[in-house]
Amino acid sequence: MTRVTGRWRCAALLCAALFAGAGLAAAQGWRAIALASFDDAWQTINESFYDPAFGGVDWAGVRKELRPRVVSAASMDDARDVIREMLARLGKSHFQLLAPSRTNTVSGPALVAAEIHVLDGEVVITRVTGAEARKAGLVPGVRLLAVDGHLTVDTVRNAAGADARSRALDAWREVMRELYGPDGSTAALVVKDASGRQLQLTVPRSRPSGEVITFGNLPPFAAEFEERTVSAPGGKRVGYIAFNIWMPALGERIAAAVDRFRQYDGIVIDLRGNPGGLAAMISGISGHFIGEPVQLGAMRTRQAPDPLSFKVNPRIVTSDGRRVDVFKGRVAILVDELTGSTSEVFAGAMQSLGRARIFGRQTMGQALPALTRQLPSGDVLMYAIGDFTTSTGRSLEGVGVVPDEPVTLTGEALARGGDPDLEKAVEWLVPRLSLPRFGLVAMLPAPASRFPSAPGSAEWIQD
Amino acid sequence: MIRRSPGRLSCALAVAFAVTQGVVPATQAQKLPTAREIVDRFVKASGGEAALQAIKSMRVKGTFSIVGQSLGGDLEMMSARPNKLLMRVSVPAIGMIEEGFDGKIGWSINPLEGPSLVTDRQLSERADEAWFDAELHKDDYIKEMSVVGRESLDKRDVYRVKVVTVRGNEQFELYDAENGLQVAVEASRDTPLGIVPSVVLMKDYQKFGAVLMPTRVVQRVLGQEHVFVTTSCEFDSVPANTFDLPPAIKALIKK
Repeated sequence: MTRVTGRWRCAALLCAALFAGAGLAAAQGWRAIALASFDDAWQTINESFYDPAFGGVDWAGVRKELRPRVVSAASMDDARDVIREMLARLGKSHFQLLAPSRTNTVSGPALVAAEIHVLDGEVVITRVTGAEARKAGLVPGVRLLAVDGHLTVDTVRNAAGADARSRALDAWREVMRELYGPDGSTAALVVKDASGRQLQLTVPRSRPSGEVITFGNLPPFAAEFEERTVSAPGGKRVGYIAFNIWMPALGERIAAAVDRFRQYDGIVIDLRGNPGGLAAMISGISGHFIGEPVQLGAMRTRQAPDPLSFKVNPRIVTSDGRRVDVFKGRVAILVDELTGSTSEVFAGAMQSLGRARIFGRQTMGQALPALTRQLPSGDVLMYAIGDFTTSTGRSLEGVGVVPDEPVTLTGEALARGGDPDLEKAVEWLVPRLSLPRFGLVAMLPAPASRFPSAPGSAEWIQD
Repeated sequence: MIRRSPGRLSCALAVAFAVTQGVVPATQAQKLPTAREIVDRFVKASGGEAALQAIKSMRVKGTFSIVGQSLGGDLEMMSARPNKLLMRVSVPAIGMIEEGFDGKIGWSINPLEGPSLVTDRQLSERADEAWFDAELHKDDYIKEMSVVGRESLDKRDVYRVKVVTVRGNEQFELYDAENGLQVAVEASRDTPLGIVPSVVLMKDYQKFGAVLMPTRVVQRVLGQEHVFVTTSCEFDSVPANTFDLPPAIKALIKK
């Protein structure tokens, strides 16, 4: 698996407009291509699903039942729906058909530069990441009521999923889809602030920032990275590292940041909103914090006789050949309901080893190592080839990582410009720092700064 | 041996295991040649022992791809007598992956995991992989070998030979019964993730200088097919310092 695992469900969906690999089925003969794609997907999973019993699903029966529906499908889109239904029968994450569909296609590559979360059934702006969006009046903490005339309350009400967490994720995906649009377009947003006042905003959409990376069959992805120092009175320093995907292009930047923070009092790794990436990276990244090649977790597969093992690769030299110690201070990891896959594997592994404390909200619970494969149609099948358990035997699939320190996001805290997750983590990392909680809030960097650069303050300096 | 394929090393890159394909036991009871006869025939078909031993170093360039995954890159593999090896694979969006053996130390540098030393069984396998004259199957490389049977692989008759190296590593080598060429190697390999079965297929033999080499090597691992295609091969042009340890590896072994 090129040590590939865990992948980009949400990101892939949101980048569907940029996805160039799909839709190759010619108008003529599409049905044969659709059938070949159905068969290819079924066979691939039949040979690689990590549980020979398919979790109790009659996989052969699924083929027998659904294949005739591809034969009688009226269009390629109908056939894709059948393939998606087949994948859904497994009830596991990381079984996806990456292709445009009637439900997941976005209308352009630009989006409103803001992060959203579904909190208690409401869509809340948690960060505003672009200057144009800020200029248009968008601020953190406001409830998002409508996007281009679509009421978010309807989206939340109609969201699909077996439980509240998965329904919230589905609603999040749908609202994010609506925030996308063509280059140069604007989104008509209706928001409600803490006082109950409704505002109509016209917010320009823009392309996501960051280095655009193309990897294999997956859609292009804008990889973003941020590192800064959070300095505190008393000479305490905390290093802050955030990245939105596990890709090697960011590995050297992470290593350089850890190197710079090596003598700090603590390090925060912010994996909120990070949907995963290449799982092999957890060996190298954990090696910045753990000095022994201990096991991070194990993966059961169909083909290997024994479970495969992810181990720490202690990073005791820099890329330029300097001998160093791994970081010995405290490590906090920030997660939320949009933290998925490799991010969950890393956070869960570090938590199980007692090397990090987890702050935030329970993660997606979609943590299966997966591969991709191009089907005859040109669509891409993502399929899991193993499960994953941490060093303590804990499975993350369907459960996710439960924070040691749960943090409830509130619109009020966000509106004040705070970052409750980071505040709580910093309080733990530098425990002797006895500042009032809301004093910290006021001094922390602007919440918009998670990826774009932002100015520091007199006491909390980012660099 | 002349390192003709990146197959074994690619296990470490691929972290994988392969699916045996199309190999079925022979049914006919006929007298089988000895393993030595099969290997000698292969050496002769490859250009002969003298031609193989005349080569002091080798540089192979080519491409690497994973079927169906739109992933690939460039490959460069250098080897030299008696047991030095350096392989570089450059993959877009990942970067340069390097694996080496300087006759004593096995190492890896890749952007996913950082620099690391190869130890224990992985080191033993790396040492075997680096053995320049491995294909000759001499006593300095082979502890024992025996013919297991004759069977069919991709509709061709092949001899299956079990080989155990002096370092204790075991593999099955398959030789074309008709033309004598080695067509596959099956083995379990130790990777950073653990033991994984691997099948390497050697195809499209072409002549480079006085020797025949496979120009298409397919490795089946983790349900994937990794394809290595040779685009050029040079002999005796690899500088001796090619195999010097990189600074990061030197720092790793510093006590």
